[in-house]
This record gives sequence, C-alpha cells and structure tokens, in this order.
Amino acid sequence: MSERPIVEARGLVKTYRKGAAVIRPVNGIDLDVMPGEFLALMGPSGSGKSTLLHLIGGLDRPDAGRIRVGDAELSAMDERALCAFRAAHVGFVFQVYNLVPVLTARENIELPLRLLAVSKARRRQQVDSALAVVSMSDRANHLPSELSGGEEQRVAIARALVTDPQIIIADEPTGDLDEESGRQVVDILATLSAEHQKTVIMVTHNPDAAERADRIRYLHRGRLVDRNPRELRAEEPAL
Amino acid sequence: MVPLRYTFRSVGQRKTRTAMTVLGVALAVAIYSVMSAVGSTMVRSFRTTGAPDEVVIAQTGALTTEFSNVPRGSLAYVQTLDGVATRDGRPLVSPELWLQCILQSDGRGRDVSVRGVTGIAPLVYRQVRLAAGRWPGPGHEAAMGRSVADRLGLAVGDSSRFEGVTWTVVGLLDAGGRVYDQEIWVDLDELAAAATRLSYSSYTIVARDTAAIPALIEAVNEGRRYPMAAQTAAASYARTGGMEVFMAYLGTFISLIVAIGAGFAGMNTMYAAVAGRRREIGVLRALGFGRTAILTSFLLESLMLCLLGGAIGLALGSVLSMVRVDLPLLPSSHVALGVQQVVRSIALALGVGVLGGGLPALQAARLPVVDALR
Amino acid sequence: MILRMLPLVWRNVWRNRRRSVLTLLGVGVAVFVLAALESAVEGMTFPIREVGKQELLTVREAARANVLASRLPATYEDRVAAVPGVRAASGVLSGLAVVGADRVHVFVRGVDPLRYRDVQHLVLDPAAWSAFQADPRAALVGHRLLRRMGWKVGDEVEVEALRLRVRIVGVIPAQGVDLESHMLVRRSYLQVTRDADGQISFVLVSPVDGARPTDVAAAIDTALALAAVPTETTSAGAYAQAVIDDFMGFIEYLKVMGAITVLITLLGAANAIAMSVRERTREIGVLKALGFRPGLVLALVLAESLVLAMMGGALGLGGAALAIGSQAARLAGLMLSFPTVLMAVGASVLVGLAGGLLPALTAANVRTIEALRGIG
Repeated sequence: MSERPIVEARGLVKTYRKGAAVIRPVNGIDLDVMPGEFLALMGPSGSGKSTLLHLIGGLDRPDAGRIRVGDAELSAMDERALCAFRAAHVGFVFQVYNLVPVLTARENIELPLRLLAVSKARRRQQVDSALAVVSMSDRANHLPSELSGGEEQRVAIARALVTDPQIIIADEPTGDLDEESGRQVVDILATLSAEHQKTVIMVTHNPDAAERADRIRYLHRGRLVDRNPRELRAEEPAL
Repeated sequence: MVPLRYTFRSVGQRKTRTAMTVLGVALAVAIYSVMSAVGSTMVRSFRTTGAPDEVVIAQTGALTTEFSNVPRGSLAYVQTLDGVATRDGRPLVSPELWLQCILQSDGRGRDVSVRGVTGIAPLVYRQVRLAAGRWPGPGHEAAMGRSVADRLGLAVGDSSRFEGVTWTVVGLLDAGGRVYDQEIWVDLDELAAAATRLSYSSYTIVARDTAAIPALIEAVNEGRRYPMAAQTAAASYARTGGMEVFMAYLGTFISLIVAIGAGFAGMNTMYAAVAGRRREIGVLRALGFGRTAILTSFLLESLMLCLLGGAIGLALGSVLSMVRVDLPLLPSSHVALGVQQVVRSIALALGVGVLGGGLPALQAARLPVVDALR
Repeated sequence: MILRMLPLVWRNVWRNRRRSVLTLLGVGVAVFVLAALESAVEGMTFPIREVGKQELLTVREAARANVLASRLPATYEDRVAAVPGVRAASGVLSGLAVVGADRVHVFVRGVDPLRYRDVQHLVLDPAAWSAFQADPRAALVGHRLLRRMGWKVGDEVEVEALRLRVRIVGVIPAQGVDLESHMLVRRSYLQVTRDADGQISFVLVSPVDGARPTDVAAAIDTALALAAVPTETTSAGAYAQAVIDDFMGFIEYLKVMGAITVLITLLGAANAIAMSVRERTREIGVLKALGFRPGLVLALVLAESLVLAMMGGALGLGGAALAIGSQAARLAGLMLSFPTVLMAVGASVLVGLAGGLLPALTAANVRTIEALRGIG
C-alpha cells in the first residue's frame, strides 16, 4: 500500500529583510510527511522552524518552491483561498496566547466550526468529543484566565482537532509549561497520531518532547538535516 | 463573521477606557441633540409666525420691533391704506407697543416680552387662540402665552408685576408654537402709560388678499408722510429671528466639531485595543477568519461603543432640554427632542464610530498573520 | 531636577506617534473652537467695551430689560445735573444701524456738543469741534469706524437705515474710548430723524472730583425715584457690559458649550496619557528601582501630559490666528485679543494637568515589584 505523502514540499525558500541584512530562514527545503506521522522539527531559536511551519500551515507564502498539503497546492492559492484552507484543513497549537481571552474554553473550541457551515447541534457534538479527547469536559465553561497553562494548551489542541483537519501544527506547544504539563500535552499529541491517525507536525527545542515523535528532523542554516546540528558543528573545521 | 459574542465581550474588557470613550460620545451627542432641537424649534417658531396675508409696518431702519417708533398719528393713515382687509366695517389694523420688560418674581427680575394691543387684536391675529380665560382689557389685565406662563409658573388669577404696575392674569394664549406663545399681551394704552411711551412700535395688518400685498408694501415704503417701512409678516419675523437662529445653528456646528474631537479620542482607544490584541488577531486569522471578518468585528466594536454613548447622550440631552432655561428668546422652556433630533443624534454617534473605528479596524485587518503571531 | 528630565519627557511624548498626534489634534480642534468663538464675541462687542479710564456714570431707564431700548425724557438731562455730587450731565440719544453686506455695526450717539464736552473729555482737533457745534448736520466719526466704512473727513455720508445725512467734519483719534468705533451727531437732528422728539436714551454723568461714584449713583436714583420714569444709574463700564449681555443673549449658552468642549477634550487627553502610562509599567518599575521618588514619577507623567496638551493648544491657537487674520474674518470684524490667547493657553494647561493627574498618580503609586513583573 504505497501512500501519497500528505505534505509535500519542494525547494521552499523564504527571505526576510531586517534593516540592511537579508535573512533566509528557509533556504531550499524539501519535505515529505506521511499521513498519520508525528514529526518533530528541532533547531536553535531563530533557525526558521516557525517559518517552515507557517509555510506548511498556509499562514505565509514561500518566495520560491512549491508546497502541497492534501489536495491543495498552497503556493498557487491567494489570501482568501488560504483562509478557507486553514479553516477546514489545518489545526494550530501555538506556544502562548492561543485562546481568545474573552471566550470560554467551549466557545474557543467552537470557533473554527463557525467558519464552516456546521449546524448548531453538530457543532455541539464535535466540541463535546474534542473536549473528551483532551479530558477537559469538566472545565468547558471556564475562561482561559481560570485555566492553568497546561489546561489552556489542552483546550488549544481540542480546538485544533474540532474541524477534523488533515494536519495539526504545533509551534513549541510545551514552551511555557512545567515538565508535567508539558509531558501531558505531548502525550495527547502522540495519541492523536497513533490512535486517531492525525498527522502532527511539532516544532520544539525540548529533546524529551521530540523523543516521542516518529521522526525528528533538524533545521540548520535554512535546510533540513537528519542529524543533530550540535553534532554537525562539532565536525565542522574550526574557522 | 467573527461571532458577535466575541465582539460584545471584547467591548466589556477595558472598562475605564471604554467608559471614557462612551462618555465622550455621550457628551457630544447630548449637546448636539439639544442644540439641534433648539435650532429647529426656533426655526419653526419664527418661520411659522406670520400668516401669508399679514403685513407688518415699523419704523424705517429699526433693527427690531422694540427699537421701532411709529407716531400714533399714523393710525388713520394706515387704516385707510388700499389693500387693508375689513371686518364689519372695521379695518384689520392692529397697533402695537412691543417692549421687553423686567418682571418681578420671587425677588428677582426676569426678562419678558410684552405686547400692548387693542381690542382689534383677536381679529387680526387669527392663529392666536384663547386656551383659557379671556382677552385682556382695561384694568391692568394680562393674557399670557402658554410658554411664558409655563416658564414663570403663572396661571389665570395670578398677578405679575412689571413696569411698576401689578397686572392680573385673565387669560392664557395658545399660538401653536409661534413666537406669541412667549409673549404677555396687555392693553396698549395702559402699557404706554406705565412705560411712558408716546408712540406705537408697529402695526400688524391683514391684507384683503395676498395679491394686494405688494402694492400695499410699496405704498408704505414710498410714502413720504411717515418714516415707516412695510414687509410681509413672514419676512419681518424671519429677520427678527435671524440672530437667534444663527446662534442656534452655531451651537449645532460647534457640537459637531466637538463630536469630531470625541472621534479622535475614540480612535486612540481603538488603536490601543488593536495593539493590545495583536496576538489574538493573529490566532483568529490563523484559524481562518478572513480580513473582512476582522475588519467588521473591530468596526462593530467601535460602533457598539458609540451607539451606547449616543443612547446615553440622548437621555442626557432629554434631561438637559427639560431644564427651565430663563432666556426670553427661546421658543419655550421645554425644547422637546423630536424624531428628527433622535435620528440625527444616532447618525452622529454612528459617524463618530466609523470615524474613530474605521482606520484602526483597517489596520487590524491588514495585519499580516505571521507578524501578529510573533 | 525636572529640567534634566525634559529629554525623557519629550521621548515619551512621541513614544507612540499616532496616538500623540491624534490627541494633539483633539486638543487643537477644541482650542481652535474656543479661540474662534471668543474672537467672534470680542469682535462684535469691541465697539462697546472700551469705555475709557474716566469714571463716568450712565443713567438709564430702570424698567427696560433690553438696555439699548432705554428711553428717558430729555428733561432728565437738567434734573440729573441738579443732583448733588454731579459735576456735569449730558443726555445722549443713541442709535444703531447694521450697514452693508459685511454687517458693520454703526453706533450713533446724538449729543448736545457743549454739555457732552463737559462730561466726556475728548482729544479733538479744535476746528473739528467748532464745526460740529456750528452745523446741525455735522458728524464726528471715530477713526476705527472711519476706516471700516472707507469714509474721509469732509465726506457727505448717508446712513439710510437711520435716515441720517451728515457731513463728516472731524475724526475722533485713538485715545482709548469706545467712541473710536462710534459716530457723534447732533442730538437735535437725530431726534428728528428717529421721531424721538423730547427723548434721550440715557444720561452720561461726570461726578464731582473726590466724590465716590457709587454714592453719586445712589443719589441720582433716589432723586428720580418718584419721577415719571424710574432710573438706574451704573458705571459706564457696567452699562457697556449690560449692552453686550443683551446684545449677545447667547453668550452664556456659548460659554457652556465652551466648557463642555474643554471637558470632552480633557477626557480624550486623559485617555491617551493613561494608555501611555499603562504601556510603560515595567519601565516605571525600573525607574523606581533606580531610585526615582514617586513625586518625580508623578511630575514626569504630568509634564508629558502638559507638553502634549500645550502643543495641541498651540496648534489650535495658531490655526485660529490664521483663520482670524484672513480677509474674510477681518471684514466680519473678528479680533484675536490677548485675553483670548491667555484663555486658550489656560484651557490647554487645564486639559494637560487635569487629564494627566489620574494617570500620574497611578504611575507614582505603582508597586515597584509588580511593575517589574509587568503587571499593574
């Protein structure tokens, strides 16, 4: 059974201008992600991990190269099409400030469903099951300010799930959490991949979190490598 | 498209900031509504005064009726002018003495407008009706227009003191919103005696028909015997009211500018709100809410705040307009906020909302997702 | 100490350029409105206000609500002159006409030359005065009015509204009296054209040297209390003020509007400063940790607020000055006077202080530790 990769990127390039300097956090990246895979992307801060993630998630457009997610050719889509794409096919989990402070957990999770024409009854159903997956059913009516960091992240994951997206993108989901909460969050992500056949792409600098993934890839100077860059640097000749 | 719930609750967030914006809009709307009401009431009052078949004769060059002096001897001349209507053989010419007097009430002097008239007055002023009692006759009697009676708190049977004489209120007049509602009518000769005035102020005449008016006016203006000038009653009152109406419009104009000031303040608040919610906006965009949805959401927030301010402002304006303002030139002590004022005030509030919220909302919408998330 | 902090204050004012500009504009608009209103009022009332330094009294008809409508019998001129404490009395018949498209207000005073001269000391060309005495149709015109109407000495002019046809025999030069914007004519002539035989508007009185004006005023009113027309005697300045108040019945209304304008601007400015302070909680914590006393922090925030408000005020005042200096405004008679400028500055200072007070207090009282953590 040869499966088609659910994410296929070829020659991705993204350039930024910072004052006079030109920075290329993504400098020619090829990537294939299989359906149901739990992929961890690691690398030092500022190495372009988030940029790559944004490109995969349709939050940003590459300056060169192409990227396909599912049946969507992202590089060919305009702003409006990308919006629609994100709404239906991608689930996001960020490091902090994931949730809208004025909405309860339930309302936050329901948010993406309102973009798709889903009936009220069905919305309730889907929110309830998402809450169950992350074990937050009893805290559904609390505001983010009333939840702990770990609980907030779980709600964020539930929201990422609720539209039954093709891929779930998590950008440093354990970044701000203590060890225990962080572990719980990664547990859920791993379960989503293993038991619910969701494709999860996680960016992290936490090696323990990365260990739980099916595959780890490293970002080094704008390109993806398989080996830990620290090892690579050790091999580089001193200048 | 962003749920209304989100918009509502975001509005409720920064309570002090929101309160100040709302208050600002409320104040602006309050003054605007009152000024606009005063303005339109005044315009209506002066414009409706003066029937189409009435002509007013006063001294040439007199700025207002009060400064006008026409010699008593001219009465016969005026009564025999061609074009004057008659009733039962009596020419419908009403000589008048118009003065602003100081009425002693509750130990203080209040300014009142007094019109000394003769028995022919009820026949000439057909739009002025008796709401109670009877027309004033000799014996220091007075009939009060309903607005001034209201303002002074006087009713039939009460007495009032001005020009060194005590007058008894024997009737109340209803002039349907015309300036006469603000006047006190007394016997002309008694007023002249009390105020030591030897001449009349003016004549109000009913013309036989509107076609006769131009000739009548020309005859008076060209006449060499008496230094008098004639114009239609409508023109006369329009000129008299000119200053007041101008002032009222000025007030409205100023309140508009004040509203713009409130708009600037509102803009500040909205920009701060957008800045403070950058990440939130980023998350919403990441989830798939488009630019239009964000724009609408923030614009709606601004509009909601301003509508709230507008509602409060209208309530405030209603209260303000009920305060008894002791200015004799105002048409009545109550200036009611009519439908026109309400509609205009709401439009003003919404305008401020769009002005204050438009640009910030645009900025929020144009925020690149990736930057917002950083 | 605070002077050394001025650079810091200035930087903070421009921390958020858009916000500061918006606040500036708000204050500017309000000050512009205030200044323009005041100038309009000034312009319209100027011909009446400059009464001069002489301590003159005005005797007018007590019962008149509208001071300009005051009428007294001409015989009062002599009756008032006979009251002890009165050095000289002159009966004046006044008239007012609004002339031309730019609505120039022409104030006319009909006087008896000899009696008037006794009361009102005027610096005039003696030849002009003689001509005025000699010719019943002569007129002396104040220099401002002369310029405004484009008249010259020697002209035969007509004020149609008052049915006056007079010959200008002299000009009243600048000497700090209201007459500089008025026209003096012969009372006898004015009485005829205005059908006011045997009448005057008021009596101008010069008290005896050394007598208290208030005492003389009381004496006059008492003496005439039982006469045909009861009188009210006040200082000439008070009379002028009463004329202005009647003339501009809506001044009070406009003043209320002005006050509310300031209030709303205050709210806006306070809002803006408060936002600025809120953003800088951490910075304020650092300052306090460094040793800045609460009083200094308060002063800094207040200074910021003041600077912002005064810049806005300057903008508004500048705009008003430009507008008032324009041709159209000058023809309409608008004048920007020093008191108005002071008032505008005062309003700006008020907005700055009052608007910045609460945020300044908050900043001063912020608890250092909380501030460093970014809360509070």
